[in-house]
Amino acid sequence: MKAPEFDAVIHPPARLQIMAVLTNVQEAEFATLRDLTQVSDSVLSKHLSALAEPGYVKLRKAAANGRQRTWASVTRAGRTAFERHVAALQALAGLVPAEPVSAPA
Amino acid sequence: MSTIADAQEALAHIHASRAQLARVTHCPPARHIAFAALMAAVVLSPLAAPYQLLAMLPIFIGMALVIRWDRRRMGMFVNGYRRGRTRWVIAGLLPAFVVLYLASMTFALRKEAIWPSLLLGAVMFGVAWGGSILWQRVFVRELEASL
Repeated sequence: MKAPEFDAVIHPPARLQIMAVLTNVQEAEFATLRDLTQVSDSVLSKHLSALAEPGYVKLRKAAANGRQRTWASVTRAGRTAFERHVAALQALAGLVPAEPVSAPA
Repeated sequence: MSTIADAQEALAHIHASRAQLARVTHCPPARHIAFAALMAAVVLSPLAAPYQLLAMLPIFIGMALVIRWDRRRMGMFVNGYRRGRTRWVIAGLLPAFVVLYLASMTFALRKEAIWPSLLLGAVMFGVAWGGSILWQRVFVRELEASL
């Protein structure tokens, strides 16, 4: 169990959903993430960029059937941040014994 | 983030995503069979001696095709060695694979016997098929379980 720590970058619902998916797969395609999170292309693009900026998510473009597709994967830093954030949520929700939780800066 | 309700709502979002992921990562029977066939092919590969390394080439191509099939079918790829409870399934599969492969190699290369390797390949097929189905069930249960 990682030390609980809130992460303001991860916390918005759509980003939580994206991270919940990406931490369980090796890589997911943009359209699949859009369908799973039920947001528009532009909203997903913004959330992915926000997660990529601190290095939580890695994006790559690959050609398939003559079209460019974006694939997203979680980095080690992203996985750790997500696990810490979930631990913090669980501590706050009273699902696990309380531990000191670091608040976002 | 300030209240217990906020935290519970956030956890509910995560749980919902995981459950939805469990629903879309459906694995058709052909996918289990493809994995089992590839594992069995590796166990059978010593029969191609002295070209057993060359015999691995179509197996690697097959693995690449299965990965591509997964990516096209689901729009994602789930690594079999991912973290989580599914690693227990892999931990059971790998020793079986190593034992069967070494036994097949021993029979094929040292004793120059074909039938034992064929039998071992069939056993690997069955073990890998069952292991693949079990892996998928464990994966889905893990995603559907509460955080």
